[in-house]
Amino acid sequence: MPLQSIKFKYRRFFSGPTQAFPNRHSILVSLIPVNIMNRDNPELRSPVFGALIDSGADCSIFPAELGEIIGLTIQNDRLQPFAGIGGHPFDAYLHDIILDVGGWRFATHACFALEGIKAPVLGQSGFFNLFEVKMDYSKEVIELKPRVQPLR
Amino acid sequence: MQDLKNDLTEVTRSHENKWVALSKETDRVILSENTLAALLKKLDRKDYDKVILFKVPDFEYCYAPPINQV
Repeated sequence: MPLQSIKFKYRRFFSGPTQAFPNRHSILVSLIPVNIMNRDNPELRSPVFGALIDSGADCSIFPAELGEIIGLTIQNDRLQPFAGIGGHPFDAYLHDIILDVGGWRFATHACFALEGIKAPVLGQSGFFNLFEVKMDYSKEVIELKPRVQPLR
Repeated sequence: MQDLKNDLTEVTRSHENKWVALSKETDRVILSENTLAALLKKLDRKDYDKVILFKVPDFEYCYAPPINQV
């Protein structure tokens, strides 16, 4: 049986007007609620947190604190250097995790950074490889259709 | 449709650039800290099912993709 899709709403936050956008009072952000679990011990899990869907990110990357609370020792032998759009490099470490999206759990991976990122990001490897992602900004809807079978 | 309440403008209005723990209904802020580490330190594991964490954006700056690999 084909898997159903799941829909989320964009999140709206306050945003003040700027010279570029003088009439702006809020912004829409492609944040969806997810949580992560330790692949070896799924009872070690994070709280649900808002993660930004970002097709411009090469892979999913989370703050190290989220990895630590699921029992990961962040610094391992799977180092991946990153550079921000402003050119500031930072290091992250790849880990195997379980990603829970709307109750669907997937065995996947993510990088964890000790510094350099402000918020969790769902990128190409680790997220977009799991889902067909449809983002409708005008309707404020994000639709995810799994490409792979969830764990449960 | 998951989580129909998507408008966080008012509930997070006074928490610019903070990490917040919102109630599951996203109608009130339970905790607010400058860093994720500080928020997680104050959050009891038994309360993990009762909250959803968000990084409230800066209200002036626009976001740009931050992380292209070297």
